[in-house]
Amino acid sequence: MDNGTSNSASENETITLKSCDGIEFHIDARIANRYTLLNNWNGGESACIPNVNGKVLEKVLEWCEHHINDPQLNCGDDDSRRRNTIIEEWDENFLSCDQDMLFEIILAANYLEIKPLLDLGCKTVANMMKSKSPEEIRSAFNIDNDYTPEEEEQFRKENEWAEDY
Amino acid sequence: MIFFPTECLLEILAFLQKDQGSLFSCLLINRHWCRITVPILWKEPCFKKGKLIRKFLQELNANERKLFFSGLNANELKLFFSRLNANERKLLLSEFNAQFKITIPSNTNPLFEYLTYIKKVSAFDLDDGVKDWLKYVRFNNSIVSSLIIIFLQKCKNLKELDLSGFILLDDKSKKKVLEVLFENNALTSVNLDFNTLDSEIRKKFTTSLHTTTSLSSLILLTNRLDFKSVKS
Repeated sequence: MDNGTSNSASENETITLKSCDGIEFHIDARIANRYTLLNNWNGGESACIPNVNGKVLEKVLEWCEHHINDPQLNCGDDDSRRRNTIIEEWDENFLSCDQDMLFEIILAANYLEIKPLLDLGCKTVANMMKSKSPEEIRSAFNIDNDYTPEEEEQFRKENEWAEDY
Repeated sequence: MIFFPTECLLEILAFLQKDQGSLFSCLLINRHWCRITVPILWKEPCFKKGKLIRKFLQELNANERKLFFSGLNANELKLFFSRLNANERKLLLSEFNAQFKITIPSNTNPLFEYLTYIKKVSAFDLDDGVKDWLKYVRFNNSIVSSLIIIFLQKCKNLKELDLSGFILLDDKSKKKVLEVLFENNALTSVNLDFNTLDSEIRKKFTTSLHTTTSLSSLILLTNRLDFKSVKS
């Protein structure tokens, strides 16, 4: 399934990545081959990945390393991908970090185009919101409410059919 | 406070596509979340509940409602209105029949054009929804056909129409549904399943297949197309 992506790098090859706060990581070149965007910062003495700090990059790379032998995802089939809300045990433990870290990982995965990790993070957040009231979600994620009371009431009314599904 | 960029929030909410109750909560969080949630919630709303059918009719303008009523015969109309509660009657009647002359307070404009987000509808669900709403089954078929016609004309982004598991009983309304179906150039997927087409309709349908540009999936099962007569 992933022929052609792994043949250009052997097991011992490593590449070097640097986080935005200057921490260097030496990683298996096959990882960078899977997620092409990582290649952009390969080995640059001065180049570092903007927006992603060492702590977050370490987590992201830990995930990539664990999943190095996964089959490549079929792109494009969004619906079937999203229907599956089951999370593997290793992944669940991996993401049972504090919330800030979880969000940082999602943003980094989005930025670095590591699709399966982005999916995993989003799925985790989606599961956290399941069957919660708006107030519960707001306080769980510390989100401000900028509705006027009238507006909120109108939205509630207009979509009230969905409430008890 | 966290601010998810739109693209990330879209990804997260897409995982709740089938969970309308949770999407309802997300929609009420704040304005940013609302803008992103509404299209997802309304993409494939489940019409099995009467509440949503009622909501759908409320979103129509006077002409569209007239069109809906024109699909029912006099008896069915009488029955239909007898099943409505006072509020529904007030809302739906005034545009239908001048003799009632009820003026309704003009609704505040809805905050979104919800119906434009609908992408998929199944007649089987509509049938359940109408039953759930009116708690009555005898003229369900006409109401559902009428609803399908409105869907085809009103919901500009409708891509999938699924008639499987639902048979259009009345020939007149079947013809009308199919006519509107031919005129729709946005659908990409149609499932006709057990709705047998008579030869005249079949011929028309086959002809219109020549001109449609959007359709990529058509399930006919019990039907055969009539390419021969189109050729001649």
